[in-house]
Amino acid sequence: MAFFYKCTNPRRIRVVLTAGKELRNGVRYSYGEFSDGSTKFKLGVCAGHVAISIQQGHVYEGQTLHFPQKPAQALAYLSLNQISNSAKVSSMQWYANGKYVGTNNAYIYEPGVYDVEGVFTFDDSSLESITNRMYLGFDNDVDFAVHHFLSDLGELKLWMDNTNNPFDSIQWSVDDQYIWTG
Amino acid sequence: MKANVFHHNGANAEKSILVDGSFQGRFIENFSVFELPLQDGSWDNTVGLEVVKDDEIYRTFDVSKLQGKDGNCRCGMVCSPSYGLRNVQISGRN
Repeated sequence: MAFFYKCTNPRRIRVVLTAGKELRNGVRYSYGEFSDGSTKFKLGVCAGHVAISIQQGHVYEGQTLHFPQKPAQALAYLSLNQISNSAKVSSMQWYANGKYVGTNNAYIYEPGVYDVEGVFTFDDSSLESITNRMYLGFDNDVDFAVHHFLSDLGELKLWMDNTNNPFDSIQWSVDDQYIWTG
Repeated sequence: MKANVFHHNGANAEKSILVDGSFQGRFIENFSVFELPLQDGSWDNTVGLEVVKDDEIYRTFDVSKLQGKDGNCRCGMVCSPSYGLRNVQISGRN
Protein backbone atom coordinates (compact mmCIF):
# COMPACT_ATOMS: atom_id res chain seq x y z
CA MET A 1 0.00 0.00 0.00
CA ALA A 2 1.06 3.60 -0.41
CA PHE A 3 1.56 5.98 2.47
CA PHE A 4 1.13 9.74 2.10
CA TYR A 5 2.08 12.19 4.80
CA LYS A 6 1.64 15.92 4.35
CA CYS A 7 2.31 18.54 6.98
CA THR A 8 -0.93 20.57 6.85
CA ASN A 9 -0.74 22.25 10.22
CA PRO A 10 2.73 23.69 10.76
CA ARG A 11 3.34 24.38 14.42
CA ARG A 12 6.13 24.29 16.90
CA ILE A 13 6.73 20.71 17.82
CA ARG A 14 9.50 18.89 19.59
CA VAL A 15 11.08 16.30 17.35
CA VAL A 16 13.63 13.92 18.75
CA LEU A 17 16.25 12.28 16.57
CA THR A 18 17.74 9.07 17.81
CA ALA A 19 20.16 6.71 16.14
CA GLY A 20 21.21 3.28 17.15
CA LYS A 21 21.61 -0.37 16.37
CA GLU A 22 19.42 -3.29 17.18
CA LEU A 23 19.18 -6.93 16.28
CA ARG A 24 16.40 -8.12 14.03
CA ASN A 25 16.29 -11.89 14.06
CA GLY A 26 19.96 -11.89 14.93
CA VAL A 27 20.94 -9.42 12.18
CA ARG A 28 22.41 -6.01 12.98
CA TYR A 29 20.07 -3.19 11.96
CA SER A 30 21.40 0.38 12.07
CA TYR A 31 18.75 3.07 12.17
CA GLY A 32 17.86 6.69 12.65
CA GLU A 33 14.52 7.72 14.01
CA PHE A 34 12.55 10.97 14.11
CA SER A 35 9.69 11.16 16.54
CA ASP A 36 7.48 13.83 18.02
CA GLY A 37 5.96 11.37 20.43
CA SER A 38 2.99 10.37 18.30
CA THR A 39 4.33 10.22 14.73
CA LYS A 40 7.52 8.34 14.05
CA PHE A 41 9.77 7.86 11.03
CA LYS A 42 12.41 5.23 11.39
CA LEU A 43 14.88 4.47 8.61
CA GLY A 44 17.50 1.79 8.86
CA VAL A 45 19.80 -0.54 6.98
CA CYS A 46 20.32 -4.26 7.47
CA ALA A 47 23.85 -5.56 7.71
CA GLY A 48 25.32 -7.58 4.87
CA HIS A 49 27.47 -10.70 4.96
CA VAL A 50 25.91 -11.53 8.28
CA ALA A 51 28.10 -14.56 8.89
CA ILE A 52 31.17 -12.34 9.16
CA SER A 53 31.15 -11.15 12.75
CA ILE A 54 33.90 -8.53 12.54
CA GLN A 55 33.48 -6.04 9.70
CA GLN A 56 34.76 -2.64 8.78
CA GLY A 57 32.25 0.20 8.64
CA HIS A 58 30.20 0.05 5.47
CA VAL A 59 29.86 3.11 3.22
CA TYR A 60 26.68 3.13 1.15
CA GLU A 61 27.48 6.24 -0.88
CA GLY A 62 26.74 5.72 -4.55
CA GLN A 63 24.92 2.48 -3.98
CA THR A 64 21.30 1.83 -4.76
CA LEU A 65 19.60 0.39 -1.75
CA HIS A 66 16.32 -1.45 -1.88
CA PHE A 67 13.42 -2.17 0.37
CA PRO A 68 13.44 -5.86 1.24
CA GLN A 69 10.97 -8.06 -0.50
CA LYS A 70 8.95 -10.26 1.73
CA PRO A 71 9.90 -13.84 0.88
CA ALA A 72 7.09 -15.45 -1.06
CA GLN A 73 8.27 -18.86 0.01
CA ALA A 74 9.75 -20.31 3.14
CA LEU A 75 13.48 -19.94 3.64
CA ALA A 76 13.75 -23.14 5.59
CA TYR A 77 11.56 -26.18 5.91
CA LEU A 78 12.43 -28.03 9.07
CA SER A 79 11.08 -31.50 8.48
CA LEU A 80 11.52 -34.75 10.31
CA ASN A 81 10.80 -36.57 7.05
CA GLN A 82 13.94 -35.12 5.45
CA ILE A 83 16.18 -36.71 8.05
CA SER A 84 17.77 -39.76 6.50
CA ASN A 85 16.99 -42.04 9.45
CA SER A 86 13.64 -40.53 10.38
CA ALA A 87 12.30 -44.02 11.08
CA LYS A 88 14.47 -44.05 14.19
CA VAL A 89 12.87 -40.85 15.49
CA SER A 90 9.50 -41.05 17.23
CA SER A 91 8.96 -37.30 17.35
CA MET A 92 10.87 -34.08 17.60
CA GLN A 93 10.49 -30.43 18.46
CA TRP A 94 12.02 -27.48 16.65
CA TYR A 95 13.24 -24.31 18.32
CA ALA A 96 14.54 -21.17 16.59
CA ASN A 97 16.58 -18.81 18.74
CA GLY A 98 15.17 -20.49 21.80
CA LYS A 99 11.52 -20.27 20.82
CA TYR A 100 9.38 -23.26 20.00
CA VAL A 101 8.34 -23.26 16.33
CA GLY A 102 6.87 -26.69 15.69
CA THR A 103 6.69 -30.41 16.23
CA ASN A 104 8.16 -32.61 13.50
CA ASN A 105 7.72 -29.92 10.83
CA ALA A 106 8.16 -26.16 10.86
CA TYR A 107 8.75 -23.33 8.42
CA ILE A 108 10.88 -20.19 8.74
CA TYR A 109 9.86 -17.34 6.46
CA GLU A 110 11.63 -14.29 7.78
CA PRO A 111 15.31 -13.66 6.97
CA GLY A 112 17.68 -13.76 9.89
CA VAL A 113 20.36 -15.64 11.75
CA TYR A 114 18.87 -18.53 13.63
CA ASP A 115 20.23 -21.01 16.11
CA VAL A 116 17.97 -23.88 15.19
CA GLU A 117 17.69 -26.63 17.76
CA GLY A 118 16.16 -30.01 17.13
CA VAL A 119 15.15 -32.05 20.15
CA PHE A 120 14.79 -35.66 19.07
CA THR A 121 12.95 -38.46 20.82
CA PHE A 122 14.25 -41.71 19.37
CA ASP A 123 12.44 -45.02 19.07
CA ASP A 124 14.05 -46.24 22.30
CA SER A 125 12.66 -43.13 24.11
CA SER A 126 16.13 -41.63 24.44
CA LEU A 127 16.28 -37.86 24.07
CA GLU A 128 19.02 -35.96 22.22
CA SER A 129 19.37 -32.48 20.79
CA ILE A 130 21.70 -30.62 18.48
CA THR A 131 21.83 -27.00 17.39
CA ASN A 132 22.92 -25.60 14.03
CA ARG A 133 23.21 -21.96 13.08
CA MET A 134 21.37 -21.06 9.89
CA TYR A 135 21.76 -17.89 7.83
CA LEU A 136 18.48 -17.46 6.02
CA GLY A 137 17.61 -14.82 3.44
CA PHE A 138 21.11 -13.36 3.32
CA ASP A 139 24.16 -14.11 1.21
CA ASN A 140 25.53 -17.36 2.53
CA ASP A 141 29.23 -17.06 3.28
CA VAL A 142 29.41 -20.30 5.20
CA ASP A 143 27.79 -22.80 2.88
CA PHE A 144 28.94 -26.29 3.85
CA ALA A 145 27.65 -29.57 5.18
CA VAL A 146 29.23 -32.02 7.62
CA HIS A 147 29.02 -35.77 7.10
CA HIS A 148 30.20 -38.80 9.01
CA PHE A 149 30.68 -42.52 8.68
CA LEU A 150 31.15 -44.88 11.62
CA SER A 151 32.72 -48.18 10.64
CA ASP A 152 32.01 -51.52 12.30
CA LEU A 153 35.42 -51.17 13.95
CA GLY A 154 34.36 -47.94 15.59
CA GLU A 155 36.46 -45.73 13.33
CA LEU A 156 34.75 -42.41 12.76
CA LYS A 157 35.29 -40.61 9.46
CA LEU A 158 34.24 -36.97 9.25
CA TRP A 159 34.21 -34.73 6.20
CA MET A 160 32.58 -31.62 4.86
CA ASP A 161 31.43 -30.62 1.41
CA ASN A 162 29.42 -28.05 -0.52
CA THR A 163 31.57 -25.16 0.57
CA ASN A 164 31.67 -22.41 -2.04
CA ASN A 165 33.96 -20.27 0.06
CA PRO A 166 37.65 -21.01 0.72
CA PHE A 167 38.37 -21.82 4.34
CA ASP A 168 41.51 -21.70 6.44
CA SER A 169 40.88 -24.36 9.06
CA ILE A 170 38.32 -26.54 10.80
CA GLN A 171 38.21 -27.22 14.51
CA TRP A 172 36.58 -30.49 15.46
CA SER A 173 35.22 -31.14 18.92
CA VAL A 174 33.36 -33.96 20.66
CA ASP A 175 30.91 -33.15 23.43
CA ASP A 176 32.33 -29.61 23.41
CA GLN A 177 35.85 -30.95 23.98
CA TYR A 178 38.30 -29.80 21.32
CA ILE A 179 40.05 -32.73 19.62
CA TRP A 180 41.71 -31.58 16.41
CA THR A 181 42.29 -28.74 13.94
CA GLY A 182 42.73 -29.51 10.29
CA MET B 1 30.49 -33.78 16.96
CA LYS B 2 30.97 -30.15 16.14
CA ALA B 3 32.86 -28.57 13.25
CA ASN B 4 33.89 -24.95 13.55
CA VAL B 5 34.97 -23.75 10.12
CA PHE B 6 37.05 -20.60 9.73
CA HIS B 7 36.57 -19.20 6.24
CA HIS B 8 39.09 -17.10 4.39
CA ASN B 9 36.54 -14.28 4.11
CA GLY B 10 36.44 -13.90 7.89
CA ALA B 11 33.27 -15.87 8.43
CA ASN B 12 33.19 -18.76 10.80
CA ALA B 13 30.37 -21.14 11.53
CA GLU B 14 29.70 -24.14 13.67
CA LYS B 15 27.68 -27.12 12.60
CA SER B 16 26.86 -30.06 14.78
CA ILE B 17 25.94 -33.65 14.11
CA LEU B 18 24.88 -36.43 16.44
CA VAL B 19 26.92 -39.65 16.17
CA ASP B 20 25.52 -42.88 17.55
CA GLY B 21 28.39 -44.89 18.97
CA SER B 22 26.07 -47.77 19.81
CA PHE B 23 25.55 -48.55 16.10
CA GLN B 24 21.78 -48.39 16.45
CA GLY B 25 21.36 -45.82 13.72
CA ARG B 26 20.24 -43.07 16.05
CA PHE B 27 22.37 -40.37 14.49
CA ILE B 28 21.43 -36.94 13.16
CA GLU B 29 23.15 -35.12 10.31
CA ASN B 30 23.58 -31.36 10.26
CA PHE B 31 20.68 -29.16 9.24
CA SER B 32 21.94 -27.98 5.85
CA VAL B 33 19.31 -30.06 4.10
CA PHE B 34 16.55 -27.89 5.52
CA GLU B 35 17.75 -24.65 3.93
CA LEU B 36 15.76 -23.77 0.82
CA PRO B 37 17.14 -21.91 -2.19
CA LEU B 38 16.87 -18.14 -1.88
CA GLN B 39 14.42 -17.04 -4.57
CA ASP B 40 13.38 -13.54 -3.59
CA GLY B 41 16.69 -11.76 -3.37
CA SER B 42 19.03 -11.32 -0.49
CA TRP B 43 18.28 -8.97 2.39
CA ASP B 44 21.92 -7.90 2.59
CA ASN B 45 22.10 -4.10 2.99
CA THR B 46 18.39 -3.61 2.45
CA VAL B 47 16.65 -0.53 3.78
CA GLY B 48 13.85 -0.60 6.27
CA LEU B 49 11.36 2.21 6.77
CA GLU B 50 8.87 2.30 9.58
CA VAL B 51 6.23 4.95 10.10
CA VAL B 52 3.93 5.20 13.08
CA LYS B 53 0.93 7.46 12.57
CA ASP B 54 -2.31 7.54 14.52
CA ASP B 55 -1.27 4.40 16.38
CA GLU B 56 -0.98 2.49 13.12
CA ILE B 57 2.33 0.97 12.12
CA TYR B 58 3.50 0.95 8.51
CA ARG B 59 6.72 -0.87 7.75
CA THR B 60 8.69 -2.25 4.87
CA PHE B 61 9.55 -5.26 6.97
CA ASP B 62 6.17 -6.85 6.49
CA VAL B 63 5.90 -9.81 8.78
CA SER B 64 2.20 -10.52 8.37
CA LYS B 65 3.03 -13.79 6.65
CA LEU B 66 4.44 -15.01 9.92
CA GLN B 67 1.20 -14.64 11.78
CA GLY B 68 -1.56 -17.16 12.01
CA LYS B 69 -5.26 -16.36 12.11
CA ASP B 70 -5.00 -16.21 15.86
CA GLY B 71 -2.55 -13.38 15.51
CA ASN B 72 0.20 -15.38 17.11
CA CYS B 73 3.59 -15.51 15.54
CA ARG B 74 4.32 -18.82 13.87
CA CYS B 75 8.07 -18.79 13.78
CA GLY B 76 9.22 -17.30 17.02
CA MET B 77 9.98 -13.88 15.59
CA VAL B 78 8.99 -10.52 16.91
CA CYS B 79 5.69 -9.87 15.19
CA SER B 80 3.19 -7.13 15.69
CA PRO B 81 0.15 -6.21 13.62
CA SER B 82 1.32 -3.93 10.84
CA TYR B 83 0.72 -2.83 7.27
CA GLY B 84 3.16 -3.54 4.48
CA LEU B 85 4.78 -0.35 3.20
CA ARG B 86 5.90 -0.34 -0.41
CA ASN B 87 5.78 3.27 -1.63
CA VAL B 88 6.46 6.56 0.07
CA GLN B 89 5.55 10.07 -1.10
CA ILE B 90 6.66 13.04 0.96
CA SER B 91 4.98 16.37 0.26
CA GLY B 92 5.61 19.85 1.57
CA ARG B 93 8.14 22.64 1.62
CA ASN B 94 11.76 22.20 2.56
